[in-house]
Amino acid sequence: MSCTVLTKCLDRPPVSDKEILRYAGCKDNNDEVSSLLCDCLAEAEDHLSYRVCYCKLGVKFDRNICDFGVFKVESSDLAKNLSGCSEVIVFCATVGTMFDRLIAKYERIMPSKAVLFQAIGSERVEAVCDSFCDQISRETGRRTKPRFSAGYGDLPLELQSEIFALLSCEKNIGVTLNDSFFMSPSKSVTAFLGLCD
Amino acid sequence: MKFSDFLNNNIVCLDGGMGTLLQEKGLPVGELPERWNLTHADVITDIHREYFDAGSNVVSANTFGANGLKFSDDELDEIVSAAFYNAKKARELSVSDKEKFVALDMGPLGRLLKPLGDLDFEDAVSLFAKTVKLGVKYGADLIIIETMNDSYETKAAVLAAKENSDLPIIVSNVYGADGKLMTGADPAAMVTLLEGMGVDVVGANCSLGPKQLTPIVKEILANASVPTLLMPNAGLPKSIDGRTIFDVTADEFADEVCELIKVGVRVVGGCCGTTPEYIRAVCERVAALTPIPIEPKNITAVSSYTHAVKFGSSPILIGERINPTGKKRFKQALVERDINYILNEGVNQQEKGVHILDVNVGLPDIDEKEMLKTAVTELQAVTDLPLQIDTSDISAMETALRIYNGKPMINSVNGKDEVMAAVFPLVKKYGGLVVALTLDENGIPTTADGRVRIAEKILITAEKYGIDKKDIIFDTLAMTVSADNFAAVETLNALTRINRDLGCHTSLGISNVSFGLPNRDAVNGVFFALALENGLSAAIMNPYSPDMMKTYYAYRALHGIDANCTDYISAADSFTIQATPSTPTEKAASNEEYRSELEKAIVKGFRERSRELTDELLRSENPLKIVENEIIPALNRVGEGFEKKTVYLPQLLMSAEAAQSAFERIKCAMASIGNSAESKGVFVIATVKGDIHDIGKNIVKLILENYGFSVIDLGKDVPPEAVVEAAISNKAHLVGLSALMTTTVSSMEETILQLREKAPFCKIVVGGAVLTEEYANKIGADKYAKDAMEAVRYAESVMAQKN
Repeated sequence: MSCTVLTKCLDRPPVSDKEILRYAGCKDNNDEVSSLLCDCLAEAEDHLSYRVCYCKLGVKFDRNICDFGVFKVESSDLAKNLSGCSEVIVFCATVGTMFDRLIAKYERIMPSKAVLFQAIGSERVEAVCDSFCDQISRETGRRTKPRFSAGYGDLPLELQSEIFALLSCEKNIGVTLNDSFFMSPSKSVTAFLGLCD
Repeated sequence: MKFSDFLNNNIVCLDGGMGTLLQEKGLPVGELPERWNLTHADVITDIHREYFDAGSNVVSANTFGANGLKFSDDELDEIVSAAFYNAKKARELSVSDKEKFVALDMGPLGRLLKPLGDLDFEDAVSLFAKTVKLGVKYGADLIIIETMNDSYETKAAVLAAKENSDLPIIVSNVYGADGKLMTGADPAAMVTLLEGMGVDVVGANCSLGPKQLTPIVKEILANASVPTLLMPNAGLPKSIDGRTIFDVTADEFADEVCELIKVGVRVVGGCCGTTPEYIRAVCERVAALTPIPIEPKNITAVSSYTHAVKFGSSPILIGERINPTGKKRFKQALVERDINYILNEGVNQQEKGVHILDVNVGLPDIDEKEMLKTAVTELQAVTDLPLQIDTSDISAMETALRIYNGKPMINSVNGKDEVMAAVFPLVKKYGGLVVALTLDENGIPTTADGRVRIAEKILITAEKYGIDKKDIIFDTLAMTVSADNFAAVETLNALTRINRDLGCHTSLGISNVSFGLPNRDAVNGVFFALALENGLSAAIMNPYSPDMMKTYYAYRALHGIDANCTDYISAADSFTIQATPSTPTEKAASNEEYRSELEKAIVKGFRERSRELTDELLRSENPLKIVENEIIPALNRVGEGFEKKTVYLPQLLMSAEAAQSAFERIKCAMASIGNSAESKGVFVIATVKGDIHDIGKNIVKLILENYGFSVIDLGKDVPPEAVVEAAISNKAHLVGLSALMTTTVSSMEETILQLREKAPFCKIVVGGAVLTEEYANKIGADKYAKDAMEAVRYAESVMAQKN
């Protein structure tokens, strides 16, 4: 079974200030935070890249066991998520290593900005995922399920190892996995995207 | 024939892809290809033989991922042994009559290095070293380090190769379409780093097809004085009928590669998607080409993890502010291990426009080796400027050179035999541009003649160590003109002659010339201008000095280095010292909410303003009164708002930072009268072992400092023993531990256990995303704090009970 891993460099998805402030734990906004956020967004621009590597797999179900051919996993939540799909896209998305440098820098010299950069990174990587999923839906002409990641529900985080082996994330988009299944760069996401039949 | 001899006179053909071929032959996803050396020796041998038959001069043994993170020591030995057995067998079986070599192939370890990831630099070196030793044991002819996308990991691999073998080293990195490595380095930065370390070939592979790699390869060719390598993919992958097809054919590939051989590439091969067919097409064309000789580029340069700084017509500014000499506040920061102070000096100087940062943390009472290592590591996390390692302690120098992510400047060597014997081997091993002071056992010659003679001696000695003169930059030593009226003249004469007659670059520490004179800046600025006109390449200087910056920008404008005077014009505004912006003493009148302007500035989180207002208040008020009457009430106000959830985390932090900038002025004022602020209590803080996330810990630290606690920050991934030791040696009242991952709560528990046994006098407060009050109790903490304010309140209550 050979599977082709493709990579994409996406255009910058639109930014939602509101989402960012939500990630930063601000329930309402004020001028001081807004102006700091403005600075942070300008500074973030050069440090962001929007990359995805992905591959299409077939999937068969045996009760709660999802069999992707290259690996199997037992998870009732994933099986439920993918019900009605015989194909799925497995992907890894990231905003890149340079963005983590920015967070690391401000963690040291200005935590207020670090908190906002953390929030920007979370918003950005989710936006990349949204934009990628939209693209896939357009390209395939198929409706997609909500994306589903290892660690959601009963889908074990350990599955990350299989996903990384499949996608060669390090070679393709520079994402690595450590022993605790944490990804570097930190603003990265892996997920399954069910393609509705 | 030895590989290095072959390389000198030939275009070298490497092999092509392995991974894609193995998948076609049935390698399952997730299985490590290196295991096939043992289980499918015939398949591996066959692929190698096909490459040799196609015309490859070098075949890489199947060891790309053979490292100690993926395999046990025993298995690693078996795998590398089998890999070389297979490759050598293929060499015997091949019908090709070309020269044939077998390389040890090393790819990335698969884990990102600190500070971005969690793998320690020295651990990475040890892991690569294991593989290198096995490669040597099983008969590699050369080492190929390839597909590396991080400059730091590349350096670790090269060090391991140099320390454990004498084999030729080829290094190839992965550049993205933006022309940079994943971690930021451009081709000039990589060439500077790698040539400095003495590798034999530098180049690019993977990620893109030959056409897209062209600009990157040309950039490497323009900078490298060693042969350049190119190993592209067969274009981009496509999925057709469930098979992976690459979009560049063998003939197109070979044609495009040969275009680049014609402009100077000397080592070629293929990466993903290439097969023996591609290599055969390349080799057939290569037979008709003659190798282009390698021209030495004679570039004097240093590098950081992103870019190279080249010495030439435009003067290079080296910021001198990270140096405790004559600075009371800096000395205090060093004694207190206040790394933030140093980091801010670095960031501020970068904002002023320096190109390189000098780093000197030598003080009699501190462990300079440890401090320099910390300073270099931490500075690399906040700035992308190259660093100048400034120390006379050789072991501190070596430690810093090892962990530096690039080719550093080294300050300094001089004409003393003993010093040259200690410094030059380090320059040779790690790479570096070394500042050479024109003094020797007899001191500093008063005449230019004497200094030039020392320079000549230094050059001759350097050559014996294999150090090129482009990697030596002379400092002809600016002496105090108030003590000797002709001091500056002799320094300039020596400078001119070294520049003109010896063809070397020069650097000066400018500020010394004006020592003992009033309005020193004026003298410094003019001396800098004179030195530049005499050929000075670089200056170690104070970027906060308007006179120095004026000279720098004006010189560039006058010498035609600054196109349209753009830089001069945009910098010109900053030349006039800004009178402290008129601070309307509106007091609280305009805004009833705030008792004072400073309180308002802190509550609003205005850093600059808080600093200025504090400076103003310091003219008339006692520093401690300002803390008590202005800063603390402001902090309390924000803190209470945070507790009531009317103020959110970013605002709390902005206020804390504004307060910190006020405190910084207070500390300065107190240091100058030989006082330091009274501490409310000693708080040791750490993120526990295994955990590399420390934003939460940093926030707590900032707020605690605001409230007057002495905080000893041990950083992240801290072993229990280190926490215990710090608690005991600092007689800590409190210890704060943070954990963000479920997997590291156990090391928090272990740390608490050890603290209870060996440092029962301190209270332990814990926090972090995965903790709960219940869990904190279970692992034996005294207190669970849900946020920074709660930690402060608890610390205050503990101290209140003690007093």
